[in-house]
Amino acid sequence: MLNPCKEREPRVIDNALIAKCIDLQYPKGEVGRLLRLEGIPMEEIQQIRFEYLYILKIDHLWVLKSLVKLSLNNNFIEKIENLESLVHLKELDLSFNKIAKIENLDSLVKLEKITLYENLIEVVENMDQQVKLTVFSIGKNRICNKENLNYFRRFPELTSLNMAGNPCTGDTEDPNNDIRLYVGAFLPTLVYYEYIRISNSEREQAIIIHDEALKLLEKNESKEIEEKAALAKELRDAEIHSKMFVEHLNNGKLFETMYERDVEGKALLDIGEEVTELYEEYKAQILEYSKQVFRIGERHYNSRNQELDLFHKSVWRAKKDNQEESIQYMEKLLGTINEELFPDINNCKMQLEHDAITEDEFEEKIKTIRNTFEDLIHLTWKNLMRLEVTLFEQVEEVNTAFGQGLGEMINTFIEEVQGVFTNIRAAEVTYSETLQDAAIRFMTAANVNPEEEDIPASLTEILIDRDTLNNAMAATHDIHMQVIDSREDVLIHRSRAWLEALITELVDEEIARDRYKLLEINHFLDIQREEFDELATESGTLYTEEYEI
Amino acid sequence: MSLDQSVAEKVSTDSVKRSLTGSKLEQQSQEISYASRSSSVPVSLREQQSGEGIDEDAPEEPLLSYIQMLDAPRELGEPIDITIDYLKQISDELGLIKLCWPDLSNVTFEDRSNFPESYLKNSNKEKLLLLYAENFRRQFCYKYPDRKPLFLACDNECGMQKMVCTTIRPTTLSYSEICTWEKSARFVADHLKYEPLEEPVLIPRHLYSPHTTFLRQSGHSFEIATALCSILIGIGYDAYVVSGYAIKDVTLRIMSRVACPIEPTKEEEVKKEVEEISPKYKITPPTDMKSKFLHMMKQRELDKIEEEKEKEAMTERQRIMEEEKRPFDELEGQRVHAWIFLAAGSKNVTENMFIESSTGMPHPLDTDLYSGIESVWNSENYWVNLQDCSHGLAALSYDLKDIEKWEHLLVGEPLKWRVHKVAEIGDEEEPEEFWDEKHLDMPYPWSMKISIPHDVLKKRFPDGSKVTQFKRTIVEEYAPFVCMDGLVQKITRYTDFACTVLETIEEKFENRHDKLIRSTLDAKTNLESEYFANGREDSVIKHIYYKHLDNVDAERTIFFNSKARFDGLAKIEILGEIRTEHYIDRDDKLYYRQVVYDKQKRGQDDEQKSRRPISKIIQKFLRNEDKSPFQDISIREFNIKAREIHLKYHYGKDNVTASTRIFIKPPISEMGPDMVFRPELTYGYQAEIGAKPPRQLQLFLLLEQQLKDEKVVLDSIRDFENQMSEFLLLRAHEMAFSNLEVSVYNREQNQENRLGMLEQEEKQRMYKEKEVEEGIDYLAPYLARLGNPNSLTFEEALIVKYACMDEFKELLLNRANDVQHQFQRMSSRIEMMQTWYTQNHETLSPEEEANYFQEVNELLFYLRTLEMRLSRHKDLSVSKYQAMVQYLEKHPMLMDPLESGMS
Repeated sequence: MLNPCKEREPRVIDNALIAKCIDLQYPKGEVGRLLRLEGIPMEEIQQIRFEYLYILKIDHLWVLKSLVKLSLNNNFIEKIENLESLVHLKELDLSFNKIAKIENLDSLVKLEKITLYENLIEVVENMDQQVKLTVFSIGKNRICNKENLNYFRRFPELTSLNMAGNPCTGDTEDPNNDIRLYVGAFLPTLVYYEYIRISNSEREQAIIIHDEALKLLEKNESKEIEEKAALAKELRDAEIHSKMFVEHLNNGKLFETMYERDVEGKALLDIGEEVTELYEEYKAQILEYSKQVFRIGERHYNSRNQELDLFHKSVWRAKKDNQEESIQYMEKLLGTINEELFPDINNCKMQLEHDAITEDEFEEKIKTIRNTFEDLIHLTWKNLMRLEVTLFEQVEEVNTAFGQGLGEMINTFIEEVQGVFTNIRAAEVTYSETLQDAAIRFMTAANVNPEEEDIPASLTEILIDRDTLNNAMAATHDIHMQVIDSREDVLIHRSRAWLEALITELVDEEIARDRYKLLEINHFLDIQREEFDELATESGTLYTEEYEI
Repeated sequence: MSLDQSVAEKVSTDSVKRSLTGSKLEQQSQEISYASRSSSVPVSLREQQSGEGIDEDAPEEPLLSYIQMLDAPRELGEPIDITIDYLKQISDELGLIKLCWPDLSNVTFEDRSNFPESYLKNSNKEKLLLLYAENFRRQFCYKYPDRKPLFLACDNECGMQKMVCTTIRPTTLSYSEICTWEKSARFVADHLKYEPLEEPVLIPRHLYSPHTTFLRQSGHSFEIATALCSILIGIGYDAYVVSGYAIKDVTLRIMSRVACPIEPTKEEEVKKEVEEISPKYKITPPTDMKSKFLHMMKQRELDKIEEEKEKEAMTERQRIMEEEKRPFDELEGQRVHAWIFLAAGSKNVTENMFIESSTGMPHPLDTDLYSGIESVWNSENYWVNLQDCSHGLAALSYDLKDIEKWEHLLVGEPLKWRVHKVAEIGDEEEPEEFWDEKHLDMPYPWSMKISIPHDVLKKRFPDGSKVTQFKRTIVEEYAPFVCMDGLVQKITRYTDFACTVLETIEEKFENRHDKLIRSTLDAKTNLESEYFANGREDSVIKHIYYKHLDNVDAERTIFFNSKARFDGLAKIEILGEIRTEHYIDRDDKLYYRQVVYDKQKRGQDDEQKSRRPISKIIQKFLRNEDKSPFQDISIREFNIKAREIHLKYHYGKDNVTASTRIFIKPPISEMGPDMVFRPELTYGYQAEIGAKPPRQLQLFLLLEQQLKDEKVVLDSIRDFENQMSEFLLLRAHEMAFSNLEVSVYNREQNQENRLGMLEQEEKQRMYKEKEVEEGIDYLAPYLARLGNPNSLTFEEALIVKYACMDEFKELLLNRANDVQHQFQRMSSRIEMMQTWYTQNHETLSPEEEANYFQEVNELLFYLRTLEMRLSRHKDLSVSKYQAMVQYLEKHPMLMDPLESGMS
């Protein structure tokens, strides 16, 4: 205090500072008292303010995991950093700092309100992930280019924007340059600019002024949006199809992969019309076959799902019945304890207090009650355990049956698919042979009158002699076969792996459930015992205390 | 006398004796004796079986007591006066057909005269038919001398003999109440009063037309059957009137041994659909370890008890059977009756059946109510049964085309049964076949069409009500709007046959303002259940309570239409100190609330006088899937008396225990905004293993929330209590002053509307009359000034004319001025208001401003009206003036003197 400079010395955030801030910001009243009494674990704090603290650097905030509202205004922060772990953050206040660039906000997807008033920012950027943004303030910065405003078009929920005091908003006399009108035209969902409502007349005027630019922009954007949608759809389809194990088989992808690494094959296509025809025919054939596989996959996927459904239903039913029965035992136990035993104990205590019975008699009575209690607990435990063991066995049995059933289904699926793949291979062999014939014929023709035939450059190397041609042919054929085989293998392996994973998961789940149940039963009964003991012994102490008096 | 004596020895029945005493016309007497002998045969046969003559036998045979009674006058041997009436009676009894055609005129029957021609005369074709029928009858008597007389023709209401087939008058009535055979039969049975036959073993003396039967709303079995048959044929059924023999209960319409056709309405129980689990993955049940032997022994014991019970029930049943058995009837099998035979094949009738026209109930062919069939007929033909009825009517063949079993009256009738041969073109045999097809068919029915006016139809019962005693049940039925409380049906059930011990009373209501549709009272428990239709303001659909204990705190259950209520309330049960409410589809997931009142009496202070102190409130909630099960409260109990709050959370998936939390409320002095949380006042169990114990802050917030909720719940409960007492008050009022609602489309009952309509009509009529009288004399006042002279001189006429014209002109001018004046006044006023507004519009409140605008708008509208009136007046006044001039010129009082003066 004596030295004002010391107060103003720049600092970093550390545990002590956080603790101090927390302490200063407790709520009032009973809630505050309780909070203070217990202390809040740092990871549960939802809002905190670091204001006028001469902080240089954002740091050490990862301890406050569940922050929702964070204020760091009026400090000396130069860079936005170390906020990645605060994923619950909804409000972020960084105004009156020295930030030059918007960055490192990608993980904070829940952000709704960002304030960057009076900083040194020149470009609005790096905020693509903040789709929920509603309020944004970036006044008094160094944004020169009005085009920056177009960045805000990606926030559908943005309702309030403040950009006052930036170089680009300087001139308000000329309507063409009026920032309000610009905003009105390009941000149709925005309601408030500089915290003043954008009126309808303003918006109409704005649209007239900026009509041309706006249309151009919209056109570009719509294209982008379409592309994005198409991509998203493809991804979604692939995901579903991969569950059927037949992804990419309903289009020409298989064929494309066959020719992807096949240099010779592509070269051979240049032979001429005959080969091109062959190629087209072959392509159609492969497509047809892969579609067949796809259909098989689809069909089996549906029947598998049905089977799964049936299984889950019946297991669910069994578990539910079992659970209900167990709950009945529990309720019965609780009922007897609360309505018979505890009142009995209290009764005895009363009697003792009023000297209606002697201490020995009291002990005797408590003992009988304790015995009843123990018997009851034991009986309940036995019943529950019996139920649980039965259920476990039953579920195990059903799981095995289900595993077998599904295994059979997968096998049939694989067999069917294998049939089609055999056809694909046969088609490949035929294709390869015909292609070879054609190639040889072409080579002979080329050799006979080299002047007439114009050999494409790609083919010269292959058509050196018969051996090279044969080699090339063999190479393409091999590559094709490899692709086909690998696709088949992928399919088979994935389906088998899926089945295995499913069965293991079921078994694990069941074991986990069983363990948990056993734990729960014992836990509950233990707690009952504790309670009972407490009551029973408490009575003793109560009695002795009184006796002493 | 000697003749009398000699014949009496041969024949036995009274009718025969009478018929012989009447034998004056030779031919006829012979015929009668023929017929009479045949009709007497069944009785005489029985006598022969008994071995001896009737005179000695009768006293010993109690079976023949009726016959003995009939015989009694013969023993006296009193001579009988043979009169025309007497002869007629005999011929009626024998079913003779009179072959003479009396001239009837000025017939009066039950205040009706003016019968149509067809009622009073037989057409030639009818005469021919009667001749034909008589011929048929004679042949039949000859061939089957043992048979009883056939019912072929009978006197109608005018005393004219008509063939029974022509009495059926197929009529189609376009009422939805009579569109199927079930409905028609019930309607006819309800609508017509049943008269037993005067002579139970003889064919009826008269057969009125269906039209008359409906008009009288009464008739004997033949008339009712004919009426019903007419309707059934009219709506397209293949129905026949059956003449035969029935048991006493049927012929006298005694229903007390018939089970009530209206079943007690049972509560519909919603059956839960059990989801089928595919056997593939069915869980195998654990092996049953119980002793089978012990189970068997137990079962054996149970069986024994069951057997005992069964035995007791058996004896009880037998006793009841005995009690309800039909008493012995000496005329069993001889009582003449008529009913309906409905043949399969038409409309949706799949099986042949009988319909008892007096009760409207359908009976299968093997019913024991009927013991024999003489003949059947419809409007097209008449068939006589040739089969033996002693093995029950179900054993008969009902194929009327089978001539071995049914003797038909007319050949080849009805037309639709004939197989038409398609005549080939140029076929030469055609004429012969043509003549084959030409023969007598049934003449057109003589009766008028049945007519039932709509209001009579709506009244349904002869006097608007009907009381029937069924077995252990009395059914009272009323037409709508007959009873002031809307009662339409009252079924009183008794436990014993004599109807002395009341069991239940079921009542049905219609058109009640309070939407009450049904109520049942259980006499044993005094439990009253009332059912309401949808549409009540409080959405009550069912109300069950004890009639003798009807106060606010009494036991009762009320069901609501939960969809129509904001709070989703479906049911309230009040049972002693406990009130339970059930809810459906609430946003806060509450589905159950129980309020337990303190046993002690109501509070002492005035304000709390009507309130019972609450000791406990239990609320149950459905699972809210948005929350974790360990945070989602399932049962909440506010123990107000013990100042505790018990919370129980939902069960987690596969969990067998649920978390609980108990708060003990701090003393009232510590509550309020400065409440301090004391951790020792709460304890709980956490089902979630490994979860941290809740922090004090969380518990405090939870407690705060619960305390807040408790207040809300208490308020709503008190509110509920108010609603309950209001409801009971309302119900009491509704029951005491029951209003009936009349549909606006109901012409008969909606008196208000009807009166309104009549008034309107009257007004219109008056207006029209007035228009006719509208020949007002415009000159009347002027002539009156001159003392209404009979004629005018030229001068006088001129004066009158010009005075009239001047004044008319003035009138027009005045009117124009008046309108102009008003226009100016209005426009100046608007101007004033506008200036006022421009001066003050900144200080005006929005309401004042709105008022101003409305006023100005109204004024402007008025102004426009005035403007239009003015311009119209200007346009019209010229033509009006001219019309006046013309009128005056043509006026008879002015025309003559003026013309004469001119000339």
